Amino acid sequence: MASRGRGRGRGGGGGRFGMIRWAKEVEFELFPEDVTLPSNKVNSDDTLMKDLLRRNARLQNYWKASPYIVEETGENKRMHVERFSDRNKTTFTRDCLSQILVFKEFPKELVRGTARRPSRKKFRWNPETGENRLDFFEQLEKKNQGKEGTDEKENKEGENEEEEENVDDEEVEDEEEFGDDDYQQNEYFDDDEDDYNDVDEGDDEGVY
Amino acid sequence: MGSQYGLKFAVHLVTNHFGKIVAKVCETLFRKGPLSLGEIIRCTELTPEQVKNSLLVLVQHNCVQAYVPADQFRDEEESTVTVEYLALFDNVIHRLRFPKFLEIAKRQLDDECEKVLDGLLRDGRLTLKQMVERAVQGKENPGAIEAVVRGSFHKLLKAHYVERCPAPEPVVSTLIKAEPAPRKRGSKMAKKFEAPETIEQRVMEAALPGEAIRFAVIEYTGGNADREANSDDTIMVNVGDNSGGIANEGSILWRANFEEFIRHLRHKLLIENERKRLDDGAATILSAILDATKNVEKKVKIEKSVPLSLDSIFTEVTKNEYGRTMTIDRVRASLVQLGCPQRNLDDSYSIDLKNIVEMARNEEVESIVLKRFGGDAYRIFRLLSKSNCFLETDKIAELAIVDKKEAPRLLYKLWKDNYLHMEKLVVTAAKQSRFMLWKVNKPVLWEYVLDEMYHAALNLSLRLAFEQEKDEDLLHVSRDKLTPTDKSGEVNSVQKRYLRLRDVLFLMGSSLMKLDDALMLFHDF
Repeated sequence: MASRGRGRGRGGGGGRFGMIRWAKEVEFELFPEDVTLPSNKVNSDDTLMKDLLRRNARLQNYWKASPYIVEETGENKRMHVERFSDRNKTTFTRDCLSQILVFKEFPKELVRGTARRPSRKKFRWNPETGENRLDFFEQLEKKNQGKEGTDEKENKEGENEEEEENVDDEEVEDEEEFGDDDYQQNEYFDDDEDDYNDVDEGDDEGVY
Repeated sequence: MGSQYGLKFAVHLVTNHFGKIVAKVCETLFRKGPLSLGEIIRCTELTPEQVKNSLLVLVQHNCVQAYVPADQFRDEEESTVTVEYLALFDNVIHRLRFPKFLEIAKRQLDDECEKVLDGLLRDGRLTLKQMVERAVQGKENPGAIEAVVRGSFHKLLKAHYVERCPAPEPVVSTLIKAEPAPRKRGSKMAKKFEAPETIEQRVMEAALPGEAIRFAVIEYTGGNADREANSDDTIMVNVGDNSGGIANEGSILWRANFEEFIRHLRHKLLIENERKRLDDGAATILSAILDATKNVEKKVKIEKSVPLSLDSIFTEVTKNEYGRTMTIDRVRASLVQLGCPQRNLDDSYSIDLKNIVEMARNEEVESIVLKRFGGDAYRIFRLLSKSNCFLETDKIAELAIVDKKEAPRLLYKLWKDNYLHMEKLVVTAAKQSRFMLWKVNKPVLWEYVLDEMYHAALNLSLRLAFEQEKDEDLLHVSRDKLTPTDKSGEVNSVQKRYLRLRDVLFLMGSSLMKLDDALMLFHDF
């Protein structure tokens, strides 16, 4: 891996003493440009297409901030020691699935366990408006800009209040959920007070 | 679904929307077929909690359907019920088209309906109560907004763009039907080949709520004379009788009915194609027929339109403003042109829609051949495509007006790229001579072209994501810095990058949307 760009074609001249031929190293190209594409022009009058792309961007932004992305949290969160520099960082916490799903309509085995009671917290329907993401095609539309500005401001105010509420409750909820996990899964639960060493798997030698 | 790049593209879509863990579960289900929870945990090597959450997300967004295979009940003992999960390829690919569905709702209905539909597409499934909550959050006038949301919801329901969610765990028989008894000898009727129902079709059929309640707001709870029935399928809640309605609002889940949107897009394609091929009049007639029979069509890919008598066609056509001036003879003449030469037995007309779709597909493939292989190859391909039988090399060169030496080279090139089917024929007469026969095998070719299109869509998406990630910092810059402020119109480097990124995103995004039209043509129409 280290010599990816260098040492090419080493030992390509073999065959004389029955030397093994090494495979030739080729530069790794992410997007090989070996096709000639026709010339293209951006048609900026195509409002229909812009509308479609704008909707697409909005949907994608929503899903990025939604509770539907299952993240690899768990052990890392418990071992995390809060540092001073973290205080100014605004971490984005997702809503919990139990705030939006109607658990009655799912297969029973997925819903088993006390972690699945319907949460009483309000669901944030527009979590993505909190972040200032630039929307390319929104800028190109001239109408409704004034209207959209005021709508977004209203949403943001509503959102900020709820975000604060959610952050506090979120942590309580997460602890409850972890409670169940410990008994249900055969997880390695680090009992000792040693917070500086992360949980290692099967590395018994270092710990004395 | 057997398409190799189709599966890769579907998994890529899920990764973009829901992250890697959900995508891994989805991929396992695609590659290995329906699996139970334990099997999924074993195959993916994720924690049970992660797998359960992923499945919850996938079921919520209608990408996975759970079911109980009925064969386990064959044993007498009461064994534990194992639920299996089936990934729905079509529904995953539909996620690419959500903006188009929103556009349809806006055009056919209104902006408020688009907003309600937007909520359903974002969150997969919602109760009416949740829809209202969503619209009201952060706004000042909840009462008025709620009424608007309810009105929009009912409009969507009436147009069948919204349906009830399927049952969470239906019991489905997974036995494959035994072959029917062989026909009596001497029977002259050719046996029509019916492909055996796939598991996917059977599960979806079992899960679907019955036609009576699929688009109904409340279920029949016994005779109540006050209740109004609006149309065959929708039942409005009577103002005085709220008890049944409100209780159900928090519990019935609704989702977008993808089938109806695809049907709408299919009709649009059929009408536009006939408009190009014939004229506006024929297009008006076809659109009148399809509109009238929209609610009666059983599935999307019907081959012939639902039979209608000439009188009913005529009444439908005259309702339309373009068709008001048409006479009944004109309608009859156009029907012949549209592809329905004689009447059916009961004096009704039905148009061959499958033919129109096939013509569109042929055109698409021919244009690909033209761009990729050049004019000569395009003529050869078109000749073979129209003749629909085996032709020999020299004959092809003669009919397509191509140089005799060029023809074998082009034919070989087309064959190598899987566009043609080739067979060798050895004839032993006075001297032994070898003939190469060529043919276009349409069903096989279309599957191959569809796979190539999925590959192209995947590449486009990956490149789009790459370009966005590369200039990630631009997304967080404030807008004032990005538009050139000085009169000379000079742009600095940040602005240049911004303009380039904007053009790149527009170009690739619009290409993907157009490619999606072709994907639908080959897969869903």
